[in-house]
Amino acid sequence: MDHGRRDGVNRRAWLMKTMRLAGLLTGFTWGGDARAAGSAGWWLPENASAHGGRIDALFTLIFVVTVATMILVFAFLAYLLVKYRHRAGRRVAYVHGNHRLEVLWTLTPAVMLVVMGILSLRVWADVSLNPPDSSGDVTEVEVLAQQFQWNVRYPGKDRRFGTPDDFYTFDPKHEVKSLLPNRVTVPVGRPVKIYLMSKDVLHSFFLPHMRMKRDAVPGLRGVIYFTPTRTGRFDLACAELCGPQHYSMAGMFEVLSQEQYDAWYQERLDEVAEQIGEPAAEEPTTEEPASSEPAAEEGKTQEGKADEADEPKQEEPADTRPADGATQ
Amino acid sequence: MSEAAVQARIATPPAHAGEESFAPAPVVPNHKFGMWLFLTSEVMFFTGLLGSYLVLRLSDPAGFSKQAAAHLHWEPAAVNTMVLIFSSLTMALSIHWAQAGDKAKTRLFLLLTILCGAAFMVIKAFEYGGKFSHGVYPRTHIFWACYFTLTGIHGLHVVGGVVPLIWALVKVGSSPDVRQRAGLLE
Amino acid sequence: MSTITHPHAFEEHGHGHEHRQSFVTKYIFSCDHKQIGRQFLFSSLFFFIIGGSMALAIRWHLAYPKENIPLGSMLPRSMVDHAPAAPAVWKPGHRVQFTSDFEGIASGTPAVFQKFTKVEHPSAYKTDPVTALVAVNGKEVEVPVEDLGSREEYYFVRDEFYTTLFTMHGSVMIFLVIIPLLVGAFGNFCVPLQIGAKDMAFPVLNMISFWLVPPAALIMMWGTFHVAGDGSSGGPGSGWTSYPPLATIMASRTFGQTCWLIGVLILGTSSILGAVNYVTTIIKMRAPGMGLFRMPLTTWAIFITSILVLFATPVLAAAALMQLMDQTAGTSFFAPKGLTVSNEELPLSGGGQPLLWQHLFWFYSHPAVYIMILPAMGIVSDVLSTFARKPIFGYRPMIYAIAAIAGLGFIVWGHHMFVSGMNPALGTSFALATIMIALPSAIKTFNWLGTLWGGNIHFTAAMLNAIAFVAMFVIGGLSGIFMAATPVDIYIHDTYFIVAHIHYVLFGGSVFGAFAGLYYWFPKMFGRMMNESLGKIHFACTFIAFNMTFFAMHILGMGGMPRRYAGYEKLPYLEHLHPMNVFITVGAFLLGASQIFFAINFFYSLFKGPKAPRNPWHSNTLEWTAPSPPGHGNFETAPVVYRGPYEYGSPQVEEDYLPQTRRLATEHATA
Ligand code: HEA
Ligand code: HEA
Ligand code: CUA
Ligand SMILES: [Cu+2]
Repeated sequence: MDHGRRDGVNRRAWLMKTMRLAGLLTGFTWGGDARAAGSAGWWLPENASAHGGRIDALFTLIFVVTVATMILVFAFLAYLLVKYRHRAGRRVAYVHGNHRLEVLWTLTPAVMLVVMGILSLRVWADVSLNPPDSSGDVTEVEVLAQQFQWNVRYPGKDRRFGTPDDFYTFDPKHEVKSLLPNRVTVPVGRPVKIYLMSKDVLHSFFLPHMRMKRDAVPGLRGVIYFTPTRTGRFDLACAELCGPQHYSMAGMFEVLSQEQYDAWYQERLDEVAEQIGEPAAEEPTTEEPASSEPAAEEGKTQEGKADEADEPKQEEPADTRPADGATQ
Repeated sequence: MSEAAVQARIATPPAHAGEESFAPAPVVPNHKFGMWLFLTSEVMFFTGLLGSYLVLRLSDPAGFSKQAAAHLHWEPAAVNTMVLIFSSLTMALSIHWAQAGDKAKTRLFLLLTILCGAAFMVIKAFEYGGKFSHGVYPRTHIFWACYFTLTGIHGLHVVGGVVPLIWALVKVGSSPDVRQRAGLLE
Repeated sequence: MSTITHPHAFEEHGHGHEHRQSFVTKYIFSCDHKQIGRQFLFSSLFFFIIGGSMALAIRWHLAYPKENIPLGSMLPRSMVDHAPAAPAVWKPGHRVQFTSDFEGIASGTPAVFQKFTKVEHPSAYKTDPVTALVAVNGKEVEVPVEDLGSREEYYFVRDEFYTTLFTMHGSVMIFLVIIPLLVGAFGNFCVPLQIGAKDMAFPVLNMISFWLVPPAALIMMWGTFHVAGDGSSGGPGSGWTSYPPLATIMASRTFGQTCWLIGVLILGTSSILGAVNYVTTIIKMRAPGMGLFRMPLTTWAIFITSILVLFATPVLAAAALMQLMDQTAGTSFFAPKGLTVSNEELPLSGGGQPLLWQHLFWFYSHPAVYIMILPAMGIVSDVLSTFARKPIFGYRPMIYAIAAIAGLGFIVWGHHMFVSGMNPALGTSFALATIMIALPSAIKTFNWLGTLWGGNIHFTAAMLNAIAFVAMFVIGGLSGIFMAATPVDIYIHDTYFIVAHIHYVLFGGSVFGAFAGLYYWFPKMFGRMMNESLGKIHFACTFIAFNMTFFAMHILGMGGMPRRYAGYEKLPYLEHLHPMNVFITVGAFLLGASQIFFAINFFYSLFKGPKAPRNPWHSNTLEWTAPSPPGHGNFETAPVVYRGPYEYGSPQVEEDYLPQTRRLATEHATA
């Protein structure tokens, strides 16, 4: 994808794209080379997750079927309009219908639709009905949304949320300074399980390149899971209206190689150990596993947020996303 | 074209004009039919409210019964239910006498019905007042939110029934339809 | 033909006393269904301009966030903000200070994407620097000058007002344009005429149902222009779907949100009253011989639509009432305990569920989208058959299909909630039901094509719009199939793909259908003909501009651009979509400008158009046997119906049409 800056060059690009649009409108380049189109932003952004390919395949299938249907219908319509245009004295076909045709044009789409339905439900079952077991080889992250920020928490060494060795961005007592909000870091190639919660209103955790989206509902603890297949920095967006600055809940979804991730993780663990001293020192407010009333828990630790907004955000060059793309 | 035939058809009662399947002469008058339709939508309205109540209740059965046990009194509720049932009776009697053509009795029972409605509202007011004085408001707990919303809407419906009844009382002697309308409402 | 069926004009009228009407009872608080229909028409067209202007403001903001919005200086400061000109040139290394109205993405996003509202002018200008140093959250970052903003001072839409804009755009278009136009205007005007009734069953109720609209609209509009305590726009800002807890939290910030809710409640009541009226009228007041299966499809569609309204709208009313309690009485039906906003815990009693609202809302609003398309389908069926001079293909399948769409419409609401956090297993059944809705839609589509087949097609303005309806509905419907496929919806939910779908079905469907109906019935409504050439120009421009605007939105959606974004260009993966957004905006403005042809045609014809004959299109249905426009009581002689509504090209007669009221010597039911 080109993330070229908006400048003079764009005018030319715009023209080119307009022309391609014209091609698209006339149905010439509908799918052509999906990847080529993708690189220009005319198709889905590149996929970076294991299940994403199946969603894209389904999308492409539906695309082909519907575009074919559309072309057939339009071609037939155009034919009718030309062939049967008004001619003085033309005697029309005095027919009221045809049962065999009715059956035909009900059953044909029915068959197509049932096939598409079955295919899509199979993908759906795999994508949202079978979360991996937490005890297995998964990376678990908890995301707590708020207006207009994503707070992130990792379970720490004991792999359990709500214990003192967690590291996260949303509890003042446990804030790990180098852990920024709006940024989720995971290793590549292993299932990721993300728990979604919200402090205030509905938000939607949207990872376009992972083909993943789910609302964060106040009072519920939702779960999504997927396996990133490529390293890189990907976009995180909010896809459920959550207020005037809804658009500003942008973040980064960082997929590291296993070694990088391990190093990153160890660094965080060390920091936490340093900050909390003895791991045994339990904080009363957070000892409960987070599944119980996450929002209420946040209510008690409210002061914690102020500094997130006021605190200067480390804008280290390394942290700044390179302008040439979220997806390397 | 046989204009005469057309005219003949127009002259005959509509019920026999067409050759086939159209609605037979109205058996159910329009206003009654309309009222049924309106009631259908009322049913959906309460389905929405009660359905939500059920959903909310199922998600917190303990909280609901605790709140209910603490402040809900069955006595006024029972009295009110009786009042409403009684009002249906007086209403039915009123319609009966209207159809029988007895103006005085129609008025009497109509008045009784209206008084029932008023009594209902008064008892309701006392109930609400009692709740408020115990510091129970709609915002106290989701149970009370449901309670006040449902009973409040119900109360509004009683008012909505009484108003046309008063109108009917004033205009008594007009057709009993108006009263049926109100009677159906409650 | 009128001479045949109406030899005795002005027979005993039965309504004599009502001829002595004052201006007020005749034109304002009229109980005449035709007048009420016209009132609905005028109010919808008025709000179409309002809703359309809001859309144009949305489009401007998306395409030119840093350029002066037209008329911006005239709008109140609560809506637009003012950014002074960025200096033409910047001194390299000069420190620019700005305050950001946008907290900034903590990391990962270059400073250039951050919007700023105030720029401190550097004291000295030099020529041609390429980059400037900008302070971003306390750090200096080098950015290209181009990204620092416009060279001229400009007014731009504030984020708060942007949310109000799309909220009110959607709400106005749905609640004040399409539903009143299709159900209110066409339903009122056509139903009694098409079934041969003198008026609606409950004329006073009908009048009330219209007169509920202006107060509701006023309340909504007043809410729109509300100013919140902090001086920013206090309009309703949680979308036309008004999801809590956002809506409730908004309501605590501004009264505008509550105005919206009250408006919707009143409009819902108006719809229900109207529906009671239509169903009663259709069931009880049909002319002799007008069997149910001799009714024109417009009437059938309004009939089934009204049943939808009767069952669905009360649920919205219940939900709206609960949300009203949440907003005013402090209950929390739709919010759990302990929500915190700006570090303060909200005083909520809790116990509620955000998803409950969504279930209730969509239980209404999915049927509502069919409320907005079925009447258009009926209108289009009438128009297609008339101008193809051919019987409608598959009359009964058409009716059954409408009924099937309506019935299925009640069990698919969950397709709006696939990724809402609802149990994903539920999504499975909703997806299957949704996919099934394509079948009755397919039946309708192919029957329309069948109607054209073998016809003698007259390309009038009405016909062109009806044909466009078929084509555009197919595109909109097919994009619905993508969303019905649950895994695909994970990706495209709440992106511009949905916005494209909305507009293909609602503009491409409902609005083209309404245009078709208007061009078709205008002579009957106002007794004057519209100008056909202007009508065709209007159609051609609208059709082209419409596709320019909304087809491209599919591509935005595929690129993953979320809807309801005031500042999409700040997300790196969306930045390349900017040219496309400009393209769309150009289309939108052309689309708006195209409507000027319509406005001219409409008003000119209203006063100066040639007088319309009784039956200008040689149609069969009953309304064309009445004068244009019909007087009070509609028909001079009570009509008697002998056959179905679509006997065009019948071999029984010389002409290519055979009105429902015409009696043949060998009369037998043909329908
Ligand atoms: C007039 C209004 C209208 C109509 C008619 C429809 C029709 C349909 N809609 Fe649409 N819809 C909306 C208005 C409408 N919709 C609106 C306003 C929203 C957004 C709400 C919001 O969030 O703001 C929405 C959102 C929406 C969603 C939610 C998306 C999301 O938010 O993630 C879904 C998901 O399934 C959906 C599906 C469908 C389907 C399957 C149909 C079907 O009825 C379409 C059936 C028609 C056809 C399929 C075409 C004709 C058939 C053929 C030519 C036969 C051959 C076809 C095949 C073999 C496939 N719609
Ligand atoms: C019938 C319904 C209907 C209609 C007709 C339209 C018409 C248009 N819509 Fe609408 N739209 C919705 C229903 C509708 N929309 C809904 C339900 C939503 C979702 C809201 C939500 O998210 O809550 C939505 C959302 C929506 C968005 C997404 C906003 C966002 O999510 O951030 C956009 C963005 O481009 C948009 C654009 C347009 C445009 C350009 C038109 C154009 O077609 C408008 C053209 C018409 C006119 C311009 C008016 C007529 C003429 C004049 C005013 C004369 C003067 C004009 C000139 C001189 C130029 N609409
Ligand atoms: Cu958070 Cu939108
Ligand atoms: Cu829907």
